[in-house]
Amino acid sequence: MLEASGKYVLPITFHSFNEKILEQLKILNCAIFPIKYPDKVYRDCLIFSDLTQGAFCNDVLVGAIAVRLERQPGGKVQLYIITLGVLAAYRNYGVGTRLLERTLRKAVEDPNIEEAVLHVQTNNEEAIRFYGKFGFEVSQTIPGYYKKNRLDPPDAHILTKALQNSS
Amino acid sequence: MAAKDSQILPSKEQGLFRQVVKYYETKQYKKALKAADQVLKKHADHGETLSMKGLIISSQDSSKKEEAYDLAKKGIKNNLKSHVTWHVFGLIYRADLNYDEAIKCYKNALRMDKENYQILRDLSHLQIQLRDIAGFVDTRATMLQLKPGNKSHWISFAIAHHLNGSHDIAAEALKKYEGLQEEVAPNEAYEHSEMLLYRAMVLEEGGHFDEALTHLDLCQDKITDKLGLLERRASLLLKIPGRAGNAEANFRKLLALNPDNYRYHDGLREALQLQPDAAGAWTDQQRRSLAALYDGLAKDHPQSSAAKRIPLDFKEGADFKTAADKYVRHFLSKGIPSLFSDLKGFYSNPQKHEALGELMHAYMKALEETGAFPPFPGQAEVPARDPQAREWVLFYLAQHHDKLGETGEALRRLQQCRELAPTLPELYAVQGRILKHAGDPEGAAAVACRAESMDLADRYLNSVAAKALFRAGRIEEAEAMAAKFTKHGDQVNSLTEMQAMWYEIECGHAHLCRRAYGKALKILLAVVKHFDDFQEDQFDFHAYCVRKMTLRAYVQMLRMEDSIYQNIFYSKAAWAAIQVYLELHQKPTNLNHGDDDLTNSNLSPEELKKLKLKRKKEQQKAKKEEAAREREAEAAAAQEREAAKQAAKEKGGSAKKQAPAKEKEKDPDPHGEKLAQVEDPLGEAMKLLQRLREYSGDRLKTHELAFEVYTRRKRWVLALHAVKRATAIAGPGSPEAHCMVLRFCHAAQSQQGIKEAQPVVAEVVGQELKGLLHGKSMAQCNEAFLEAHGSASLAHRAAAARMMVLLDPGAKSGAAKMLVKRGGLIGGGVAAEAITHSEAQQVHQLLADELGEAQAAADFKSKCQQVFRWSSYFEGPDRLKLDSEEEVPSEQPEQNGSHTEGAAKMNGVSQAVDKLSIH
Repeated sequence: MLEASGKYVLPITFHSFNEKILEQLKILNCAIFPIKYPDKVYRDCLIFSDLTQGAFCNDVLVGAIAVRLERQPGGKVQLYIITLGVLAAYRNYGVGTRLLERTLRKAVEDPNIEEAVLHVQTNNEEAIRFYGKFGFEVSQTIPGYYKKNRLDPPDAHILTKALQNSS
Repeated sequence: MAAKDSQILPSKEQGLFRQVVKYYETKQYKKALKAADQVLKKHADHGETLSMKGLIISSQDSSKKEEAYDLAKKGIKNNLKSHVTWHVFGLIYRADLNYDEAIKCYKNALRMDKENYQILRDLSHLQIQLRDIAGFVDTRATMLQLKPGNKSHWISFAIAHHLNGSHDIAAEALKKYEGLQEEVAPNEAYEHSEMLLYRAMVLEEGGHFDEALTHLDLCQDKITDKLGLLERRASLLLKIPGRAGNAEANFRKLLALNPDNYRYHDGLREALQLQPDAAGAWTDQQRRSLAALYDGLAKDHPQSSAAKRIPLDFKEGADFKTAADKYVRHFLSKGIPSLFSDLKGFYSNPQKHEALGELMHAYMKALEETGAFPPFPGQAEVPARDPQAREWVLFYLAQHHDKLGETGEALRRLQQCRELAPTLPELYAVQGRILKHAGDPEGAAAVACRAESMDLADRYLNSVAAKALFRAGRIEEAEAMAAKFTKHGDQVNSLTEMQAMWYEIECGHAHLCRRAYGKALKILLAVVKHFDDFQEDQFDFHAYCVRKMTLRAYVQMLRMEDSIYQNIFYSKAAWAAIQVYLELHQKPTNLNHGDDDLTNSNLSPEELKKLKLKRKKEQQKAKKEEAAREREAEAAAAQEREAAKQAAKEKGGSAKKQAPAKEKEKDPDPHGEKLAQVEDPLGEAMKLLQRLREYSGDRLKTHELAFEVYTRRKRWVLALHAVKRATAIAGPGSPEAHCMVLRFCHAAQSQQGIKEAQPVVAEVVGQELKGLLHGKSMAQCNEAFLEAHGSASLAHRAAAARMMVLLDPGAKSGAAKMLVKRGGLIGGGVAAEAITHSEAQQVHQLLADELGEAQAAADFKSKCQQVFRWSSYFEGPDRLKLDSEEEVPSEQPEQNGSHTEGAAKMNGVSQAVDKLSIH
């Protein structure tokens, strides 16, 4: 498939996960991220099935965004992005961008969701740049956040993006 | 006998009796019974009423068969001359599936009342069911004579003559029927059309092609099945000399409708005389014409897969490669996992599989360098980038190398594929297949379960996993796996009800390996029973199809049923059951302990202990679960009964009919213990062999087992027949045939008593012996075989070695030397002789057990370890080790007990799987 510009576009379809294929999301993330998340994390993100989405190329899972909604003090809700990853062979085709855009677009529709939040390792400049394009900014830095995962450096930035412009 | 008068009822009771019949026919059994009892109160000897009472009881409750038969017999005794008593007796036999007796009764009834329509009808159904075609023709002729005005009688009459091979009479009868039909109502147009097409079928099968064609042309407006009409016309034109051109045009028309129907392609090629010869070869001229034809078809039907696939069959060399290049790319870029199984057939042709391998390697190179497929030969245009194709090329290559026996390379490719796309479940399914071929059933089961865990909604993956677990001997887990898709988790009954025969056969084999003979027989004989049920299932169609006029389909169905026992599932189940009976015959005391296979395996004492303990735990668990299941089932049944009662109360009479069907009989022998205690296992085996020899006589295994059973029974003529059939099938130079010939001669010669007991048999066998051995002694014969075929394969030498020892038990070490030395079996980690894992396993067993040559066996084993690195049997260095499960803990501190049940079970396995894949 070719775009007007001549750049190849992957034949990607997006759909949500269910418990039957949840194992695929786990395997995908294990292949991409150095952290192993507990099963409970995965089960939780299933609840928000319209926000947690997979990208499938010819029915093969190649990327996914996993999120959960967290209630904040004061009744507002934040969208926490647990993982957003694409298999190495499928990068640079805009799959990650499309996944993030879709989820953010849906989140905006819900006026209760105030902001989108995620953690990123302080040296992960690529990710910080990527999220920067969508208006995410470093709001806080937590030293030693990844200590129990034995990552180096163990520190994390919190990236935040406000979703409701009206206020 | 009672006086005749007592059989004539006064008018009041006559009325009652008519009510009995009426109630029975409307299935109001309780009322019928009440009325019958009323008659019997005054006329206790009335035969017809007694018979009717028997019939009602047998319809009401199949467990009261005895009582029903008693009453019916009493009825006949009291009134021998009544057609009712005989008819009823036949009906009871018929309900009991005893068709032969039922036919006898019906015929007796007809003697009393020659023109009784009902009895004639019932008789005709039984005759066609039992394929008593001559009888069926007679009965149908009688019925037609009685009521020639009834149109449907003409149809049945035609069917009878069609099946009897009298096509002319059948066609004439159908014409007569057409004449009787004055005007076809619009709502009967379909039935009429089917009848017309059936007539064309009869004419065609009778060889009247021209007439059939004219018939179709004349009534084409009345035929609603336009596609069927076109197909029939095309196939008729093919058979009429000089009409091939018209046939071609017709098949092209059909291809325009559906370019992927292989029958249309076959027809078109036949019309153009492009069929291969008997050996499956084409002339060069034909190949050129075929190539031109398919170039055209591919252009006309660009969407057709068949038009691109068929040329691969007839093209050779460079042409094949070009055609394959065009064909496979679509599959690879669309990610269609079945590509390899589509092309598997070409692997018997080295030229073709090499071409496929070259193509794939060329794709791989281009995809790695440029991210796109290479340009087609002779074209400059570079195809678009295709980031996914690499995975599918690797996926194909893994299967390609596995097919060629290159396990290491296959697994390496799979690992590369996994690095690109670890989320592809099929990948693990294929890995399981590779490990199975490499002789590692445990590893295969582990990865198959991994694949299953990745898509719990995929029944194919579930079945693959269940099968792999059976192969690994993990029966309980296999059953639990399959149960995920069955109702109420009651896998055994549910899958038996669904006639899932692959499952039952795998399960039976697994029990056989465990020597749980009862359970094995239970499930294998269930498969045999399915086929009897398939036969029984025909019954309803004899009346139904004539009424609905689906005559072509009906005749096809009858023909399918005629050959249903040829189905490979029947053979497989019967073979395995015979195997069980043979083992039961060998050691009748050794029953159903499940774990004595362990004592024979070559595990160390500690391993053995561990495994036994594990199995014991499993068994206890299984027992507990079973008890729980039973309780549940009982509770559910009770509930159901309650519900049924409730429903009955609400609906009144109508619900009562359903109640008995729901109440399932409890299986008195759920684990087949009684089956395993059979008194005469060889006798049971012979019963199975009878049908196998008739329907599965072209399969070697049938005769191998027949030989085994008949020699043990000392049935020399039958054993001889098995030897001869096996030799005809496998060829005189085959190891199987050679062993059977010599074993037969050896057994027959050492049989002293045969001459006195059966002089005729002895003479026949004596004459045959000379022929089988070509006038040589047995030892000479074996020598000659070794000389001629010894270098052909290890299997041939193994056969010769086996026979050496049979003829001279002192020759063991000589036989072992010959077996291993000749041809330089395996050396330096490379197989000098390409042998499969199971062949190597057999040779090792021969060396270790039959020949008792421990040293030779150990040497062979260490060589095999180099080749079959993944083999659990040979303890290859790369196999999945049994205690890998214990290495798991300590890792993954974050996953503190939050596993789901499935994940917990999988954990040990998935660790092992990760290890497996890195080579």
